[in-house]
Amino acid sequence: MNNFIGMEKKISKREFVKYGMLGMVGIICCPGRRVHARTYSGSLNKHTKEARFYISTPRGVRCMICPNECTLKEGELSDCRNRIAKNDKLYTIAYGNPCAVHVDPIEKKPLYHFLPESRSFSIATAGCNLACLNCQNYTISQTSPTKTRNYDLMPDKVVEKAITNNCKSIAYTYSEPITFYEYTYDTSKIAKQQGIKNVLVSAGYINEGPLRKLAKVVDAANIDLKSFDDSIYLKLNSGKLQPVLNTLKTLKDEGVWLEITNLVVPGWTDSETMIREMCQWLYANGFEDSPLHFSRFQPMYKLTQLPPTPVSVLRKVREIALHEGLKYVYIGNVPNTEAENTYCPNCHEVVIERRGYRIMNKNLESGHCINCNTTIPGIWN
Amino acid sequence: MNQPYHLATVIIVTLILYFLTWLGWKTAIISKRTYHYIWNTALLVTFVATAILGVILALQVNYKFELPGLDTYMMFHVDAGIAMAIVSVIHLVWHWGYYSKMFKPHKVKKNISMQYLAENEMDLLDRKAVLSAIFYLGLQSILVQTIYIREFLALFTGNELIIGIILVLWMLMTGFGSVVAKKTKIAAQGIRILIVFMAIIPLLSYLSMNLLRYELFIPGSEVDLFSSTWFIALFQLPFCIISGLLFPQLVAQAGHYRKADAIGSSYALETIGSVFGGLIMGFLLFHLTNNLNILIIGLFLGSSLIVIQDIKHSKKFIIGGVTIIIGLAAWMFPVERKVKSTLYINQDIQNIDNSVYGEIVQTAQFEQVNIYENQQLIFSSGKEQEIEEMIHFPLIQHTDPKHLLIISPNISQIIKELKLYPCIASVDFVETNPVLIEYQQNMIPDSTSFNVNIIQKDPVRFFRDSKKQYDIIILDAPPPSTLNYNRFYTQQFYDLVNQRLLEKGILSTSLPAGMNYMNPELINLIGTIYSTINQVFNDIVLFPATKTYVLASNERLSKQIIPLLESKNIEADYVNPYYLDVWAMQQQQDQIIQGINTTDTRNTQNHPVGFFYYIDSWFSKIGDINRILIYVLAVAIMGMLLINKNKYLISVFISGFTVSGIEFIVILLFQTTIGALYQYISVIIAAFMLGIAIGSWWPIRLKGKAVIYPLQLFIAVITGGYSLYMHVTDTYSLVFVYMALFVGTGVAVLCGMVFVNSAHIIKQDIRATASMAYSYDLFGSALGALVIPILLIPFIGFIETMVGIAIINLFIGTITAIRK
Repeated sequence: MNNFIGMEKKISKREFVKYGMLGMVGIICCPGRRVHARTYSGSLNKHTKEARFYISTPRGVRCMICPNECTLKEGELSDCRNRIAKNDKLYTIAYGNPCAVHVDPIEKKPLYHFLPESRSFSIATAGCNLACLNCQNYTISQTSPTKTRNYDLMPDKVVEKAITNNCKSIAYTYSEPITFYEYTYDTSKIAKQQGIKNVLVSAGYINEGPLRKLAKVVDAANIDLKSFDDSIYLKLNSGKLQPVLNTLKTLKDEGVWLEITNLVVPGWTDSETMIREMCQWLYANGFEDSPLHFSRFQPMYKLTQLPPTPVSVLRKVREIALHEGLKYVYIGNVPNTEAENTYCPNCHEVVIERRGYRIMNKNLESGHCINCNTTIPGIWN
Repeated sequence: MNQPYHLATVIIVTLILYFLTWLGWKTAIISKRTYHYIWNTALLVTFVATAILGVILALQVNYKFELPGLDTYMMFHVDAGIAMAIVSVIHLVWHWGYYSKMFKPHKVKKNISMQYLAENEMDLLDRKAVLSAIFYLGLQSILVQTIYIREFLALFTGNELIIGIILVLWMLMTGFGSVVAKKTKIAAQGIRILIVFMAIIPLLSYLSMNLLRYELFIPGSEVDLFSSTWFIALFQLPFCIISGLLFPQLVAQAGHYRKADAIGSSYALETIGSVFGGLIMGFLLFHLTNNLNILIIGLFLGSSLIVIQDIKHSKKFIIGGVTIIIGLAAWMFPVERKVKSTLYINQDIQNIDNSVYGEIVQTAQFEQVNIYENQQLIFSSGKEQEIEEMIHFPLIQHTDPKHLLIISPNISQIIKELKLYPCIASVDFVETNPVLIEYQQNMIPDSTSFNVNIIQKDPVRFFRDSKKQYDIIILDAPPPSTLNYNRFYTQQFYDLVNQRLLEKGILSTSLPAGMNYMNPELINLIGTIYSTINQVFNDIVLFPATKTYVLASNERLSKQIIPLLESKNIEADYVNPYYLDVWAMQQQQDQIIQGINTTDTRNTQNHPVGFFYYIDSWFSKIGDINRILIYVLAVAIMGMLLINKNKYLISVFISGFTVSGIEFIVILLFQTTIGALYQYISVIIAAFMLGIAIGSWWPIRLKGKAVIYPLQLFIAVITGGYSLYMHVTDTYSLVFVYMALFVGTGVAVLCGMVFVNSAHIIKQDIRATASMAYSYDLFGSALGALVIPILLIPFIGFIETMVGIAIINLFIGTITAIRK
């Protein structure tokens, strides 16, 4: 009967070396990917600061900022890549070292009912607590501050730069400000004292305690409600839906001006039924006055095998949202549409006519429609 | 614990392993006892794993029992359970009689004939059957390999890295099948079964790989390299193992009829089958039909081979009948369209065409039209912003753009934008793929104020042949993601472009963008291309937008877009003062310029570093592989060889490495110099195969070990000589690349001779010799396919790679000569 090679005889020294080498190559080629933990080999420096909201457990320090609640052993890096465990304490390594610093029009965030036509001093450090496959800022979000080229910009300097650049607000944006919570909070606190407003552009994946504290110093937020389905949240973003819904409620409760963005990804988040359910939930929970921005998907990051969202789909979902009772529904990334404008929900006249990032016409006085005096919610001055 | 369980993976892997062991039993490689032993053990292992982890889970839930890494291992609790369920089904099938008997009245057992014993004894196929089977092996292998390459390129991001992985896995697994064959005798009946499987497995693989792509991976998403690799390995494994197993068996059968040189002639015949297959694919089948039908043709050929043999009529009818039913089903129903529709979610497939450049699919989604080439979105009527930026950024820079050359498949959308410029007199579009031109022609607006010429030609060849000059040349090519695309970013290409530009002419090209932050990988890529363009043009400006647009001219260019737009009175939908965030654009320009080192290595024909940097940037996106692994693998394979006691097998290995390496170099030289790879690739592969066939079937056999050294020395001299010629030749000409093909074919002849003479010297039985020689040849080819296109050429350049091949042949040849 046939035998496999080497089964019927003793192997020689030469064969032992040969198969040993093969085995080693095999072991190297099949690393235990799942059990691999990210580590941080750098030392503590001025950009590392003891984190807030963490507890010590017998298995390591547990970060309590976001629902991921990473438990980190000595030297390990969190899922968001910018929190480390050292000497039984949790540190942020993203303090005062943003890699992206820009001055953006506020409409780019997008915020349409918040200081229109103003400029926002926008900063981001590397890292994110989600892993969206369509992230347009993946070069920032899916890496760590140790791997990016950073500016040295402590909170007081950020505020100083914002004032110098004639910005009315500071936006914590591009990646995920929740992951550089301490930097965001401290900067916001100083900015508030100096009369500069603070804008949070976030996926809203944060626990209630830290959010309530942060909301005290934040003036406006654009929260990315990525879908209304928990399994899509898991597959497309590595997150969960409920914490984001909780965030919306908390921000409303804390009186932060809120606008919501929903990216319509073909084949993933373009289901009319799902969008209807989302709008019904928003209406039922008192968000009918919060602007909702349906954003057009463009092939990005890993999701490059999908086409852009057809404009007719965006128009359709806008109709659904308006039909469900939401008053201010916009379409983003599509030029020259009426869906860029703000309409008075009472007389249906154009209150603000927009083109791209600019305002072409404004029929609004002290937050009221000039035509019928209806209050248009927002922070206008 | 957010990760889903590996339901599909565990089921597929278990079923494939089951199939392989079943095949092993049926072809008498393993006994029925061993076969049962393997699956009884599998059942035990999965049962024990599930049971132990189940108990730990209970302890964890009830008593908060904690162990380091327990969550990770808990995943295996369910995975092992899935595997156990599959193995249980297998056991149920084995013992079906036992269970069914419980419900049936007792019957007296009949005597079962002992046919198996007779089948296990070695018997012979007739001579014609052996020869036709060897020819079919070569032919079917090349058909299947080519279809697999096309399908995998369409399923995953297609670049040289993926092609390298496909080929490396193919050769390693076929080589492994051949190693298994060393100590395995398969009877005639077993060989027939293997041929049937070889005919039908590709068809099943084709269907399952397309249907499972989005079951196993996230729809619409690129897949990381590790996952692509195991997917490719999984679907290639059955065919490769069978073909590797079959070759030595057929050589052993051939040995009964042609004792003297069965190995050489069988190798040559198999190669001729491959040459034939490659040629009919390239010149006939790809133009006439789709991938599915090509596999059905392969199935027909395999079935015919069995049906004409001396087997029972009932079996002939079954095999023939099944084949005809499959053929009719594929002909009557739109199977391919149904299969592919799973890959284009919520889109209506309008057309599927197999051009020589790959699979082209046109879909409609409401008002939007999308065109995919190998599943990469290359055109969408929804990508207006990109088109506007690509057109208006260069056109507003020129005072009077009259004659334009645009290299792009987006003809219809571009024409719509060009209508904003009344000064334009003529526009020439150059596109390689005729299918894309055909699709676009249906969408072109009826009337234009300028002449539109659509030229179907490779851009590099167009630049070489044309004498016309232009005000603006726009290059809308993919980034240097393959060596083929990289040639549009080389210094030699920019030189050609410069010659075709009129005074004040402008070149516009584009690279990936970093949105709000450019990572170091992107800066490296842009820096290299910037430095390369800087060698040819006097002024360069960058416009970071949806892509990083690079404009170059010998005249001064402006960085201020808005004043230019206003002076030209151009107002497009996106490119206008309202949408352009000029402040951010300016800031990013400065950031890139600061990051660029103008002394960065230039991207040239010989040294395509642009491709290398693009792959780096791609890794930063999809997840890096440890490149050191490739080096470790390469060094380990080489080290393993050097300690091998049979020095002639090392020569076979090196000849495999040399042929596959030089074949890659010739293909890439054709790409970089002439372009239009796809029209030549069949010819190049056929030339190499023919060279090997001639070498293996050389009428005057040089016998004795003394011949190996001179052959390898000769190979070293030829490759070394050609690298010297490359070194002294400044620009690669047509003569230069045809000379490369001639030299490559010559090397293939010599390598064929090394193979057959080495096999002749190895004093073992014929099957064992064929098995070892064939597997070492494949392992060598695998190493060549792994390191040459991915590591050596981009890293050290063409010339140095050729020198390296020469040195390796000289070194190994010398070792062969002096080692006892």
